[in-house]
Amino acid sequence: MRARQKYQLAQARARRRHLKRVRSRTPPLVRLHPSQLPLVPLKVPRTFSMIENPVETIAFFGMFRDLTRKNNLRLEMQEVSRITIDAITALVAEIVALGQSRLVNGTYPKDNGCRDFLMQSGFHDYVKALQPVPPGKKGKIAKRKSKVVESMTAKDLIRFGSEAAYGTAQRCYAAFATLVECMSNTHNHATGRTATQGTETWYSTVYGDKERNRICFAFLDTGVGIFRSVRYGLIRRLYRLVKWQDDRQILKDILHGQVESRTGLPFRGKGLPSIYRDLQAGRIKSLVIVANDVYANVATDDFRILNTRYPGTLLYWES
Amino acid sequence: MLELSIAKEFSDAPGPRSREEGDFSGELFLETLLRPRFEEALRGNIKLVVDLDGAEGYATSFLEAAFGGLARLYDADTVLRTLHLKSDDEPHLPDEIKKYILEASAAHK
Repeated sequence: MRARQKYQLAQARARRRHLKRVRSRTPPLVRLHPSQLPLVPLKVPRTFSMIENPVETIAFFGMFRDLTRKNNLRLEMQEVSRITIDAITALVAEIVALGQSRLVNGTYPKDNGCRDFLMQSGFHDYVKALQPVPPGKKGKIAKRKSKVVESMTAKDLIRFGSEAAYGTAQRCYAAFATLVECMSNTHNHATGRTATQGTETWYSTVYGDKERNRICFAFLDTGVGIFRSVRYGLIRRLYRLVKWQDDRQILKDILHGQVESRTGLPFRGKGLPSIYRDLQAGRIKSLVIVANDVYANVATDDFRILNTRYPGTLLYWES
Repeated sequence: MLELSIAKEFSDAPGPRSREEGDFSGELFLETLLRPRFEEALRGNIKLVVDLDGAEGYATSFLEAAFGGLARLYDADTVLRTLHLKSDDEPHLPDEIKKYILEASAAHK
């Protein structure tokens, strides 16, 4: 009986793997050793920031994925004059996803502030430098391929960020709640299929900005993004059946907590509305969401449809 | 009067909604601490003061699972009459929790 169950489970897994391959939009990496591949240059946008320059930065990540299918990559960062932690987090995610299959190297920004920001961000905890770099004192990136919400990790990140920003470790209630909600959302939505619920990789980054007296947070899940997840994917289809509405409106409705009441679906989805309430009440400052084809600077009510899709969900906020 | 401090007796970093989502969940808190203490208060016809201070913060899903969960076991009136929520750190929390209690109770009927 147990052997039969094991066999059936293996069959189900194989079917899922096959479906994943079939559904995959991008062809697999060319299976060659990195030493057999050419090194091609890729210019990093001057404003390397998903929150401030979403179109160029997301296009950059699209090119990153395209080029690394058949090439090693040299990231040219000399001209970068502005950099934020969301872009660093996304870059780390892309480089880590390649594993040993590709070689990615690059140059530092000429701008001292940008170079310092990159080195202090925790970037080099994941990407080796030619010369030893001391661990970043202002930023920290936590990466997990986790099935669980890690509230202790959230606590550690907040302590780290607040110490870097204010000089002493402090509590940031709303930022903590937001981190836990993000991890929980990833657990529930990121894979887009309930059978593999909770196995997506997420990255959570904190940066203590002493000059601005702020703690900056970025949370990135490398899953399918809000609108292609099981729950919201169904809502999206329902919305479009009733009346054509783009993902901007769906995101607005999710944030306002109106999706459940409008569709009558018995799901709980209180996470994003609570983050939005924290923003409105001033408990968090700034909130940017990038998911699939939507860019939303919620604080400034700037909701845009992008012509380049981002395959995942990114949240950025400050405390 | 009975007291229950979440930070001291459960965790200073409360987690997600359910046990399967992670440690220190609202579901676990409800089953191991909140419900037993609430029933004790009910039996003695006394108030249960839940102290929310001292924790890193609370995700909505934790609060809904714990307090909304209690309202799904008992009616909202009983829960609101017996519980006293104390939060100096985040003064908006008691009202938010009361909302979850009322919503959970209404949805359960």
